[in-house]
Amino acid sequence: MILRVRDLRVAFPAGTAVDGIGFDLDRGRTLGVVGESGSGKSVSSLAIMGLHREAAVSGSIVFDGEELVGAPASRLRELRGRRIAMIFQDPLSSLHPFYTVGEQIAEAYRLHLRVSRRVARERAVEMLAEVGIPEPRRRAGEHPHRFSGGMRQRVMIAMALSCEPDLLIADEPTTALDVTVQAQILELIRRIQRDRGIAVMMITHDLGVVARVADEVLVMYGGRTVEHAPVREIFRAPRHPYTQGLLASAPRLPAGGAGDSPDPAAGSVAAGGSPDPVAGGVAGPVVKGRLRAIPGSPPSLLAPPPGCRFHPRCARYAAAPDDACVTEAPELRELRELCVLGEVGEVHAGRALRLVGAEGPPAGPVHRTACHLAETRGGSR
Amino acid sequence: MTGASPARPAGEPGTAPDAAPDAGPRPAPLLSVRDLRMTFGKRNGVRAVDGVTFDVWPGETLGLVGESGCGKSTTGRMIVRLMEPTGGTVVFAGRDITRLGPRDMRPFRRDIQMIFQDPFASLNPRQTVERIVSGPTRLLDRRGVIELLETVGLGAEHADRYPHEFSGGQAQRIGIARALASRPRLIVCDEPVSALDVSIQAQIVNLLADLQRELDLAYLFIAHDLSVVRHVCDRVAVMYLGRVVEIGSRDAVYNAPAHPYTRALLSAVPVPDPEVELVRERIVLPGDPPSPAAPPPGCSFNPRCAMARDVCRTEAPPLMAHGPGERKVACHFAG
Repeated sequence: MILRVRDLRVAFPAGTAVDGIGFDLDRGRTLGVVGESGSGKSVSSLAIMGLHREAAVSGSIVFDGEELVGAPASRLRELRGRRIAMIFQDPLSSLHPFYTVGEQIAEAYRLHLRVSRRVARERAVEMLAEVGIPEPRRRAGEHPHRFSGGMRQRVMIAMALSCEPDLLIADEPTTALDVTVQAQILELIRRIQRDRGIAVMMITHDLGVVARVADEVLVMYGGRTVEHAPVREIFRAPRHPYTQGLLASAPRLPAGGAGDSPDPAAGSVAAGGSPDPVAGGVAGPVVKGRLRAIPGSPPSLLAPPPGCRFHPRCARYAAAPDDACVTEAPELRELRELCVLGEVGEVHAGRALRLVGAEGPPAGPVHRTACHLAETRGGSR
Repeated sequence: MTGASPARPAGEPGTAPDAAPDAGPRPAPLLSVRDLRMTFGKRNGVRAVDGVTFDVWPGETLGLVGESGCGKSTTGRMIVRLMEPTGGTVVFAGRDITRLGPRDMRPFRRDIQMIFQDPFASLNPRQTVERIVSGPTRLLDRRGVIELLETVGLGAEHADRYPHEFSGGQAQRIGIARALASRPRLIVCDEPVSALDVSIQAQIVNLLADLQRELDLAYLFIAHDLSVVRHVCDRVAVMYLGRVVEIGSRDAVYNAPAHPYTRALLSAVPVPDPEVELVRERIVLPGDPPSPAAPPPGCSFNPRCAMARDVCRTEAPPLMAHGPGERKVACHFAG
């Protein structure tokens, strides 16, 4: 276990951005963290990096056996960049315009590993070659503005990986890139992860990216985890109404190109018709026209709704209002029976029986969801 | 006043013209773009748009897709005359509007409106919603504004507020209301949902679809998100480096893409389904899109194309009819 997060809270003077999230992450695995703007996904990752100055961070972040919450700033500085690396959405604003790309990669390497300038420069060239930059020796001497968006992101990845980190946090690494370049970068991250066995925390709003790279998925809403499950279960049998709504509202391409039978119209359920986009039945409507939108907008952190933060937008709550949704925040609970999904069910059946130890329920690849109304609907499938 | 109260042609809204190629005579296109060009700079100028040709029929949606720098937004801006094209023509409802002066252009400005990507950047922060929607010429009185706000899913209580009081999705609704105020027949939508969260995107897409049906609007829908475009469009044009490389009905282009770039583009889009992602064929294109300042000779896609042969490096392929229907493809080896 390289990273174990429990009950992480990040409170700013204006409001609480992250309100008790937890998960485990193993080496060689990828955790996808999904959520819309303001869901707290980036704030969580910055907390793991120890990059919050104005915020009160509480709970526990154990990295390779070492507690990071409350650790001295000097220790965090040692870990940051050396063993925990991060790449951001906008590579240009993360690179210094004045220094050459090679100098910037070499600087971090020299700082952490105390090697000579020459060794560090060689390392920079080697890393640029590894992330697929042609003519790395020449390119190392160029400034960031000479690189395209995709190439800059490759430079960021080279920099992040130069010190051989154990954990890579990627915060929307491909959001600013074109799809063909996004495909290259995702491929690169996956290859590097396979070769080096690092753990990756991939923060994104794009469900397609998650489906491509993640092993398990944490869905965040209003600073809390609403669902946490292996990637195939999130997409095949989402249990939380928000996850279901998110999947149903995303337009999608046909799977393999030709030979797709268009689904019959998914109908316009948005306006008060059938309330629940039934779990699993999330194939996108192909007919031109309406998508299944989630009504309303994400909650404000300044005045979050009481109880379950999703209830004002929740179709399930609208259909069968329950006081608990308004008064109590639902706990993240393991689903009592895992739905049998053929081979998927078998793969995970063994893990679902993992014992609950002294350190609390495992946050591993069991299916957990935080909804008062989940079991009433979910159990039957 | 030619465009003051146009009688709507009795075309079926949302008809995909090449879905039924032999379905009798078709109304004239609402918008015809012919060989449109935009070159920035005088000598060795950057050819941002390099001979783009397409039609938009009344009541339909044409998607214009491509990656950054392909010229799709510039094309949109030239159609609404926010930019003056350096070549080619824009014909709207049978009249060439490419070189009309401000006065002659005025009636057409009502007919052609635009929705922008960033709703906050395109709304004046110092004006109330009522002023924004009624426009500089006070097209609408307060009652008209409120009616329009209700059409786009807002209410009377929003009329006196300022843009900063709204969320991104609501602000985009205001932008749509403003575009509707002059009762346009064509709206150029430039990335109208790409700045919004997924759940809000769906709301705006639905709103645009409803409005199209109710008001018989035609859309030129410019976007980089191929999933959204597939959902909203009747026909699609794919652009690469200032040119249209493939155009046709949505189903033809998405189900059987003929240009190698379209194929690569579609295969690169992540699908929200891990099992599909696991087995899916993926074409990862090498390199970046080339700069329009120094386009490669011949077919501009050839340096990234797996099928490229000698002819591709010397001769630019013209946009030619491909198969039945109205699909056109610009590729020497379209398959």
